[in-house]
Amino acid sequence: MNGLFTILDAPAAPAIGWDDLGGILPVLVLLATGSLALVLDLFLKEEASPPVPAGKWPLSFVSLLGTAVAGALLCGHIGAAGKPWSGFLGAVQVDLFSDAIGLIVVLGAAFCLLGAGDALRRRGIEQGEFHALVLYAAASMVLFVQSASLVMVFLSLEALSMAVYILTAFQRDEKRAVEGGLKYFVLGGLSSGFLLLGLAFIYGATRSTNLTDIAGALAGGQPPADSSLLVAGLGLTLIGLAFKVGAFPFHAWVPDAYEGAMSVVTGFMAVAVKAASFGVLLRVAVLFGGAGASGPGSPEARGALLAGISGLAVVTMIFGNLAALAQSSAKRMLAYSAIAHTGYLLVGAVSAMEARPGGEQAAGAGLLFYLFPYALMSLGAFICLSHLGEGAEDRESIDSLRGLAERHPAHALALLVIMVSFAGIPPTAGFWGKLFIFREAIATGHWELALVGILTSIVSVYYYLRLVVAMYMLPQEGGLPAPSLEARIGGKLALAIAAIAVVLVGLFPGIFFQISAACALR
Amino acid sequence: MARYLFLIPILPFAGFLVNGLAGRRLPRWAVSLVGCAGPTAAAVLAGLAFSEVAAGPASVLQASLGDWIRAGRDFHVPLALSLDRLSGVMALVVTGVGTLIHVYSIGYMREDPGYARFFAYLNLFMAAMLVLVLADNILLLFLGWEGVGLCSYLLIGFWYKDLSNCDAGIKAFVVNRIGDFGFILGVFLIFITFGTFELEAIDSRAAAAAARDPLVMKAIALLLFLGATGKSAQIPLYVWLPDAMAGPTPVSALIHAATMVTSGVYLLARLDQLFLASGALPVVAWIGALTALLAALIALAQTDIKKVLAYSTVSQLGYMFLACGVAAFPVAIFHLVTHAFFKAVLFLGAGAVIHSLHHEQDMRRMGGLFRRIPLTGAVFLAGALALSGFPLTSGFFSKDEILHETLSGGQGLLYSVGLTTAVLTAFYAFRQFALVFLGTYRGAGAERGDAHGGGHGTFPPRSPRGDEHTFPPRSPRGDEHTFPPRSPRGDEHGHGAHEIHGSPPSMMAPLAVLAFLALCGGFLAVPHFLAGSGETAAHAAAGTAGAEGQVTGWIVGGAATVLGILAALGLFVWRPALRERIVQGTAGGRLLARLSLDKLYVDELYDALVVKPFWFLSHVLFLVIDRFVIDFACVRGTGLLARTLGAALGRLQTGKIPSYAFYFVGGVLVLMTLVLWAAG
Amino acid sequence: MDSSVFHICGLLSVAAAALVVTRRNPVYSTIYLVLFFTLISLEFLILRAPFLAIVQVLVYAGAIMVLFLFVIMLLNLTPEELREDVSRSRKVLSGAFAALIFVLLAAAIRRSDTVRDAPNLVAPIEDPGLAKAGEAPAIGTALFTTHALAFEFSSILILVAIVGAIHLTKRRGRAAPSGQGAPAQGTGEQVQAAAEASGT
Repeated sequence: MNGLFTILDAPAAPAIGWDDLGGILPVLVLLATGSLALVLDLFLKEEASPPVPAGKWPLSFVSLLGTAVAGALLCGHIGAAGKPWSGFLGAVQVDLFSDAIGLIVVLGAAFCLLGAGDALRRRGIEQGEFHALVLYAAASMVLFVQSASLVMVFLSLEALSMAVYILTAFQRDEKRAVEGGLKYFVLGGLSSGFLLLGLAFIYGATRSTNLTDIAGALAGGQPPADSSLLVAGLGLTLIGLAFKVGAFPFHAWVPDAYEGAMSVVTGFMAVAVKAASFGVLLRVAVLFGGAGASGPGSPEARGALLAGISGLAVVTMIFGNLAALAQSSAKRMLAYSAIAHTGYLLVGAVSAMEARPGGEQAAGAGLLFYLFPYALMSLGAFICLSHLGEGAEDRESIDSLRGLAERHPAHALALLVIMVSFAGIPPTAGFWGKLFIFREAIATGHWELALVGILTSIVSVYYYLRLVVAMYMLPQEGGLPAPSLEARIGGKLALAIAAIAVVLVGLFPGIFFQISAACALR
Repeated sequence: MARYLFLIPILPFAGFLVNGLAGRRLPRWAVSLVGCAGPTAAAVLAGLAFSEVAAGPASVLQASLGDWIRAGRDFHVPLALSLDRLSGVMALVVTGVGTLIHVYSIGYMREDPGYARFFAYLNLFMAAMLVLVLADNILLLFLGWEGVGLCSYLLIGFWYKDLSNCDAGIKAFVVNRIGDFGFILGVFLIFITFGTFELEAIDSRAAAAAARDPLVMKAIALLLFLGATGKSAQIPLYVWLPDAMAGPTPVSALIHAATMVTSGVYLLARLDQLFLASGALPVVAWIGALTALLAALIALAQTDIKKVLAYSTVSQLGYMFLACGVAAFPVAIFHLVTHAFFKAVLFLGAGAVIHSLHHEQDMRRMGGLFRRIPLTGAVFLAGALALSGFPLTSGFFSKDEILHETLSGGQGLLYSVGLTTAVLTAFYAFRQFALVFLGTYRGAGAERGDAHGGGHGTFPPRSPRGDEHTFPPRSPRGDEHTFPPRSPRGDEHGHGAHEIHGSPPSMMAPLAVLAFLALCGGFLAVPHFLAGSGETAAHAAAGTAGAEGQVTGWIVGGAATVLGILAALGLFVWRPALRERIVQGTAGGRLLARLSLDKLYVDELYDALVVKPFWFLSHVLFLVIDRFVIDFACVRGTGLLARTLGAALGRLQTGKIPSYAFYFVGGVLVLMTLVLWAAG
Repeated sequence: MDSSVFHICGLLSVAAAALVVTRRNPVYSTIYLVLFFTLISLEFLILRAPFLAIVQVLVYAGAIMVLFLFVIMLLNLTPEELREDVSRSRKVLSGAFAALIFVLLAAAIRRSDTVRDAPNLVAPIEDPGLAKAGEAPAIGTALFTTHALAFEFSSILILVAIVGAIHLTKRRGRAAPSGQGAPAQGTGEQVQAAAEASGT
């Protein structure tokens, strides 16, 4: 319970064994595959002639295999409905919630890698570093959600952030990429400072770095937590996490970094970084501010977190949707839309804080459910932009998508499905996501959040349908030459999977909602 | 067996997937094989399942694939099928008749470029219809309900290159929307009232609910009935069905005669307790009886071979609703079954005629075909006899049972309407038979012309609107001359008539089977079988009315039929001159012929009463609401506001790190103040 | 020794930090940063965390700051490049924000029970374990037990940083980004090349 005593009273015999490694096997698989990709690149020759259809396919193959294995391990764990497992002397806690978030992260990585082959090849930078960084980032993200110690939270957050900064600037010959990466890095440093300070405050208030111990101490109320320090610490931690998820007013990096990065990376950022950060945000929010089985551990912390997260949710929903209206670049529009969706997810986090353990509503089922379609939609949309690109350019402006329905009807259809789902129109997955989130909010008495969410969703229809109008109703004019897409199997596959899955989840939301409910925080 | 219940709809669906996705690349025989295998297998499975249910006293087969939709505590819809005697009978009809029609289509659609598409749609229809029939809850039933509606739309507009076919499809779709609107409101009310979607539970709790809240129950029943009138083409929503004949003939036979249009009847029979308890049955009975009469009147003078049958279908469906309306649900299903047989025969026979005559559908250009294609003529005769209710044919038993139930229910007026309709039915059925098969050939290539005994000129000339306008007599495929002359076969002796050819065995075999069923299907005693599982109070009371009432009914019904038949033969075969005199000479005859041919001006009435005002209203609304309020005030206004705001917010995005950091720190300040303040 | 030393060092470190961000010349900033780190390490020493104090001086004030200075000198920035384009009002406002945040956090700390009940800084610690908690053996034990995963995982963080640094800064062998010209050199190749160079 007492941090200093844990240091001193630690047993002399090594208590970390193979079991601990086995527990974080998905993370290890991802790390190993990343390193393998780095080494493998040494043995692959880049062909001299640019239009090599296959390129360095073993890189993509190996790294996709890694994500597949990691995903299968996570799925298996969910399927077995295992009990929460704590390892590395309490540094990590693996439960169904972390598995579910990890799965979304791995999904994001897999889609990114699937689309990355062409995207990198077109730019002449198909290097193992990319695959390695994506996999390292994914591993860090999975570990981030599994973290049960403040130290691990910070370290894994830094590792994933570092990898993503570099991925943003990966196309280092492109000014916008480097600029976006630099902005993300500098502001990320600033936010990390606040986060670290916040974690230090929490440590000071609870005298422990271990989240499980803290939870126990808060629930027990002995000794009473130092609410003043705790509230300040939670506020600062919230700032750090709000930055990562791109909530207003800590969102400033999002449009620039999303636009600067290659579209495949943007999709990865929008999905994986957000999912992992929301995972930890939800854990922290429920742990410190949840309704609790017998009332909240610290009413002050609960009040502070509810106010903070609700406030962020409202301004983020409003800002994201309004700012997206004025964009002329599809990619930037999607970036602001990602901010808007952060707002909806924050609403889900607020409702999650109201759920009582053992009660009817599992904490964060709505948020988890929302994340899955959101992941599919974002990945599909960004990969489509990348897939239709040419050379170092992705298809970014809305005007460049004009007349797409005639040239590439299948792609236009997939993008149409995704946009309709983004806008939350039934019977797509996005509709159910919003429905569940807003329903949870109303059920837990936060109808004002649901109201703002619904109103801003209506606004969002405008800008999502602008893309559809451009694709289906406006004639093509100039713009990029129509690329031949025959060789781009990966992107095609990713797009098809995303669009079909969006429809399937929309048709059978029950199954996915049950999984989400089963995986929600207990 | 219950485990395999899901296979029944899935097998045709698999056929749909294969033919729909890869059909264009498959050879024709593979398409036929895939297209017919699914329904056949489903028919076998349905037969097995049915025999299992039939053996037990009241056993029900149920299968569930878990939850379809689950939301919250009390809203959950299982993906479950159940097969009891009622749905078993329906499933047998759907799969049995459906399979025969699939086989028939192999020959009928042989030359069509959209062969695979046709089979894909047909299979999809089968799957949807089976979901409708086997659904365990009303929401799943609604899925099937909408599914068959979709397929109906697709198949009516199957030859989509002709705009009028598409119009007919759209008409069917839109008219059905009105019905579905009622249906879905009914479903909402059901969920609010009963808190469940399960058909069995709804039915068993209906009486208690009606005692509690009779008004709501009446509303539920009427709303569901509105849905049924849409799907089953009853007043006031029957207008789509005659136009639906624009689809290929097998479609008319399967969807618009034997199966889909009867799903309204099935719905009522499924929820019989609900309808009994609701007190809405008199409405059902009267709508049914009036529809039967009205459609029979219209059928009298139609000149298109398929339109006669279409109105006849509407009329027969009216009989079924009449039966439902007098609480004789098993009898309604009995008539549904026999009707499926004989109407399928008639449609398929008509299809064979059309096929033989190279897509000629106007009966005034037919005649004397019995000698050219005797086999087709024979099956058509069987169908016509059954439709008329000639003694000992299937239609005889089922129709008389309906009339009997009506009379024993004390509904004298309804009974007389039904009996009149029976006379009219026999009349138009044999008028049609006479025009097509008897007399002399009046079509193209008829050397002898139409001097004597012909139908030309004896009818009022076509109305200036022209039926062609809404209903092309020819298929737009334009491949009339691509049909190779058939090799001489038993039923054709190609002297001078190489144009009129018989039909291939793939068409004739199903016809023969169905003709047999149409003649002998009356001995199935469906009502007693169904009544065994769930006898209604009213029906039980009616059943005690005794056998002698039944026998009297048989005699009266048989007499009515014979009267109608003799009148038709008399006027169209033996004494054409007399008909001439009646139609031309008397004012009443002229009026009747005119009214009947122009379909009692119902379309015009709807146009004046519904379409035009609606059009006007929508125009006004468009100008006021859409143009002004929405476009100007809401869309432009809010859009402008939002975009201005958006642009202003976008200006925050300067692209400079110091500004970003500045916002960040400002955000930190605000958020920390908020958080610390909220903590107190 | 008196607790006033701690407070003086604290005030001085705040002043040093303020000087770091207000100096226009980056070399001065770096020097003040060294001063800041040194003062912090003194604070650690007073808080009886000798290991942290030493690490602070060795790693931050020593190695990292030297690196910073090298980079600054290598960049060889001209006065024009050092010109700030942030408006004066913005600067004042930023300062005010920072001050307000400071006040908020200070108030939170001030109200804290932990801080109020804390023992005197310079009073002897009774608990022998607690007294040695800031020394190297205790930290080492913690690093290899409770925080072993964090300790190991920090290598991944560093690996990511290295891979990124090499990728972003390596020799630009291409004229155009279209993949023509000299073949790209991956991190691995560079490391290999470096290893060969050092080996021979």
